[in-house]
Amino acid sequence: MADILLALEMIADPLNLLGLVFGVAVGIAFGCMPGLSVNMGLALLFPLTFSFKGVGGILMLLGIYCGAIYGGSISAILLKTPGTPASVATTLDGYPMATALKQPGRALGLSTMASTFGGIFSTVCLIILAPQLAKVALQFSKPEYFALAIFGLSIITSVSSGSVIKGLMGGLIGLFLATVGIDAMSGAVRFTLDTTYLLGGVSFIPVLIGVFAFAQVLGSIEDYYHHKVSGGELAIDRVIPSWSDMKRVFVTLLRSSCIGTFIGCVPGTGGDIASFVSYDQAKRWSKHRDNFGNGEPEGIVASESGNNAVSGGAFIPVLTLGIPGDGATAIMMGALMVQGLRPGPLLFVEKAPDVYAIFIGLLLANIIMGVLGFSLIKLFIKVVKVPIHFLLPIITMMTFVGTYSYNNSLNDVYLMVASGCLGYVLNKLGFSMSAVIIGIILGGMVEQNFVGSLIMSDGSFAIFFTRPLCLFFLAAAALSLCGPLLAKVWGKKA
Amino acid sequence: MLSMALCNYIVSIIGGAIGACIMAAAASFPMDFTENGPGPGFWPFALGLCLLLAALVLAVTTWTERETLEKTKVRLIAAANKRVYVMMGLAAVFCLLISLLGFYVAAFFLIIAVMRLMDYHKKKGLFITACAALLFIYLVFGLLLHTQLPGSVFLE
Repeated sequence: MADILLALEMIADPLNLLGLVFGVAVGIAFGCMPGLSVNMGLALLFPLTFSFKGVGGILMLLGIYCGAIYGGSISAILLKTPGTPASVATTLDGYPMATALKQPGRALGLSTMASTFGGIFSTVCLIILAPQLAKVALQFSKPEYFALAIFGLSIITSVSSGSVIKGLMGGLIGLFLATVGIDAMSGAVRFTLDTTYLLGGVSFIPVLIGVFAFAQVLGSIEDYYHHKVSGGELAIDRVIPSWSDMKRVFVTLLRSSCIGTFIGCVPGTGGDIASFVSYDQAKRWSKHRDNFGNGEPEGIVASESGNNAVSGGAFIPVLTLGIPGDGATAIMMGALMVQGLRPGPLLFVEKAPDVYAIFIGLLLANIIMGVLGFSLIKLFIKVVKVPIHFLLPIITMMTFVGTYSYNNSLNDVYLMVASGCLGYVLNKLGFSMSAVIIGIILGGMVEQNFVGSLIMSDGSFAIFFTRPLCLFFLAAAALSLCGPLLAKVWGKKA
Repeated sequence: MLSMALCNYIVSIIGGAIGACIMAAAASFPMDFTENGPGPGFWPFALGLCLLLAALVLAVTTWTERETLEKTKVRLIAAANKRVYVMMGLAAVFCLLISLLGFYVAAFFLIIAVMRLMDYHKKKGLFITACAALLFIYLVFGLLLHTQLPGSVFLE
């Protein structure tokens, strides 16, 4: 109880509350502008977290995370251009409702209500499930942690990238980058190219801003050449959903929230998968399945509650096991580590007030998102229409300033530009940047637990194959990596 | 446009070369097992080996699926990409100009250059956007967060 009171005290700090509201508003703005992404918003504002005390910066990032997933639905509904991949399914019914049925307010209201419900539902699941899972994870030792990290990496590389091998190569490069600097176990100085800059390792934040923000800027410049987005004028009617709509969509809302929360728990998945699975299930079970694709309220609600429910689910493996599920949660995990909070089961024992503050913060972020969504929807519609040729130069400057302000180092800026250019090319070639970032984040944990396990076993690799949980995670990792290949062989035989 | 198959072969060669380089660099560190576990070269050597193997697997799978991958095109040298490369060049020039002209002056030119790159040429709009962006950066980072952005060498 004392921990919860301490957490409430942290949240009640006016600066932290302001950060949370600011984060949600910025997140919605980033989400609703096509060409900007959740990861970009998180990466760009990451350096601002150092200006907050304690978990204040994390709360701001939580706000951005929740707000951006929801924000994607605004442009999906009004422009048929989803602001984030998670909102692609929302265009299927949102855009017809806004244009063919001439009810944009109804569509936006349903999406706001569904997003808020999905987010709150998954946060409640996180609050209930995470401490229980952390208790189980407390039994883990070094070999289990090593196997778990390998499993997390394998599933991310196999799901998040178009090609398993390319995902794996990205993850391996990330793991290698994490070895640069002073080795924590032996004290040896590795791969620093005789520079003092690399003694502390490859700086995580410039790489993060480079591959997620600067590379995205480059991608947007390319997209702008092909497709200049311009929205038509739509008059907004009432945005509060009617009672008949609420009754019609309630079961879909619950089902999709459960699906989104479950999918969010699985590393390597994300809002896009959750929204499509939720949409598909809603269509399968609906009495109005023939209306799907023509502005069906259940279609909007399924997609939006599904993708926002991912937010709470995705934090379960991050907080309890220290395994980020995608790029966004990897950034959040990086922010936690920078603030001295090492995600994992011990976090629940050593820093319980901070964990409760994160829980309450996520809950509040979803509530604030709903309030802002209903009250300021007309403002966000204006944001959707800000021309990208005004936005991109400013965002480009923010990538430079954000990177420089982290360490007051121009070397960081050079690293950011190099990572961004490389990230752009690798994105074109089908590599997953999330795999690289997750590799960098998990690199230290993987190596230390690998070495620690071998010390425990006097150098015998049998330790990884004789402990049941460890063997289970390693077998699951092998299966997830070889799964696509086996599926192909199986398909050919059939 | 390049085919994905060709790109994959190039990636395999580069990936394999990076893997081999990592192995060679890691081999200069001790790898034997002691009471403190394996030497500091062991883990990076294993990563380099895995990268080399993954590059080989990529080359083999590209060969087996070459018919499909030949049809998949990668846009890397189209007109839109050339704009991206110009943007990369602008970023590189900006990095050089920061220490020469100072952050704010270099940023002013970069914002205008990026907007012109995106086909926006109205002088008033260019000037107002650049000034507004710099004012925002000064207020948030300079005044609020006390970030000392780089100044010009001529003013030192």
